[in-house]
Amino acid sequence: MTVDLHHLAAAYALDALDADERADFEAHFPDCEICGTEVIEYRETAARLAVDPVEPPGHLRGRVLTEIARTRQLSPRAPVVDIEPRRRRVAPTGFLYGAVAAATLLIVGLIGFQLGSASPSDDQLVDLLATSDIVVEPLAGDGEAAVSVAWSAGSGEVAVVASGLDQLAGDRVYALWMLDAGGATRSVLFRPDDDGTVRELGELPGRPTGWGITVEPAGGSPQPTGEILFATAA
Amino acid sequence: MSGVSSVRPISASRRRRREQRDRVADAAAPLGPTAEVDTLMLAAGRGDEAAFAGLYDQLAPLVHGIVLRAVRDPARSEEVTQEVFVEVWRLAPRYEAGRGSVRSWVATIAHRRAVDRVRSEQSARDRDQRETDRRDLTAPPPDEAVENDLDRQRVRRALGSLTELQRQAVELAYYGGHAYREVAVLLDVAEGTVKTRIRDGLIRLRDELGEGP
Ligand SMILES: [Zn+2]
Repeated sequence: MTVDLHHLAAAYALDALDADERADFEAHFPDCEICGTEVIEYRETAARLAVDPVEPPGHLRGRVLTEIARTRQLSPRAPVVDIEPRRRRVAPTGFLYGAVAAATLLIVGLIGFQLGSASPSDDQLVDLLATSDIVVEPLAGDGEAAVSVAWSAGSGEVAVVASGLDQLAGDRVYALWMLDAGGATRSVLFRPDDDGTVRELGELPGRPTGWGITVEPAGGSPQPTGEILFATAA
Repeated sequence: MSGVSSVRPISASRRRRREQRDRVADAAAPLGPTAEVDTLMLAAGRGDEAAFAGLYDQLAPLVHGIVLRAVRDPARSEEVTQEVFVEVWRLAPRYEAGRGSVRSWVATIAHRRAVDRVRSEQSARDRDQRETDRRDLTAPPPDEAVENDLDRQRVRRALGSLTELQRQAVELAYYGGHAYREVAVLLDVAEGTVKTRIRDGLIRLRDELGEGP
């Protein structure tokens, strides 16, 4: 398998690997001098192939600039952390102990094998899970999917991590809502990978008292319109 | 699928505006267009929204071209292009110049997002009906309209220097957004062969094209 992995840099740079291989390769190449260099070079080459610039519609500029104005940037790359301290720091809060432990294991399981990955969102997820005030909460819902939300007031970020989630039609998207005294505030929009897993990060919009997940039209809605599929246990 | 015809290549007026802006930038500091993108990226990474707007102006046609090529549908492409730029903004503080050019970093984010969008829609579709992928077997060749672009000519020449199988494999993967297993089915060759051809093809392209523009 290791021999095989060394030959995947080109297909990786063209996004031609399937989800499993991509995950395997992302776990491999940051620590492999040969593949790490190849990825950088092949990405440069791949970008050269993009020779069809198309002017996007004029109204998109304003939409993008409005959206970024309310989108929090990630902190500059935090130092690489060891997974052990993080696991200890996730402090279950009593009554949900078993469920929280399960949720933490789910998160650690989903990202653990990708520690050191160059995929930005995974790095960021690792950073978030390493924060000292991380709170991990499993959401309750029907069906087989396991869904958890992890957030840190200190870093101002929230992650939604799931496995076994149903795929959606292309014009639909899952929406995570932060609940507080003021109602529901839109947080992260996400779609599961091919294998039903989700690792998605976003800005923590306030001080949550709970969380809910609905399905919304692509692009999201200002307020939840779909049925609540997963939510903080009452 | 018909969306491609309704988009237009980068306009002359746009190009003039950009040249003017570049001249202004050159007068302010001895920076070429690439250096300008680097400078804007650095500032955007510190939360400078005006710099990010400049970055958008420079890179939006690149991003939208990549997205439209893979996603095809103009409305969905707009959504993805927007998502790409929000992602670029979010990640900007983490851009590391030593790990590649701004252009390739942004192109990487755009291509990946576009391809993932296509695949997630595909798998959602496939669950309902085992509809075969109707995307064109052969990816459309780069548009003739901007043929005077030297860089584009170079890329076409470089692609032309590949063997037929290398070129098809690279084009189906990059322009068509197909995973190499799909490429194997489409070209009716073994998966291992596709992986090798993609690799040999990219090495050849890297050598032919050299450093980025
Ligand atoms: Zn390697």
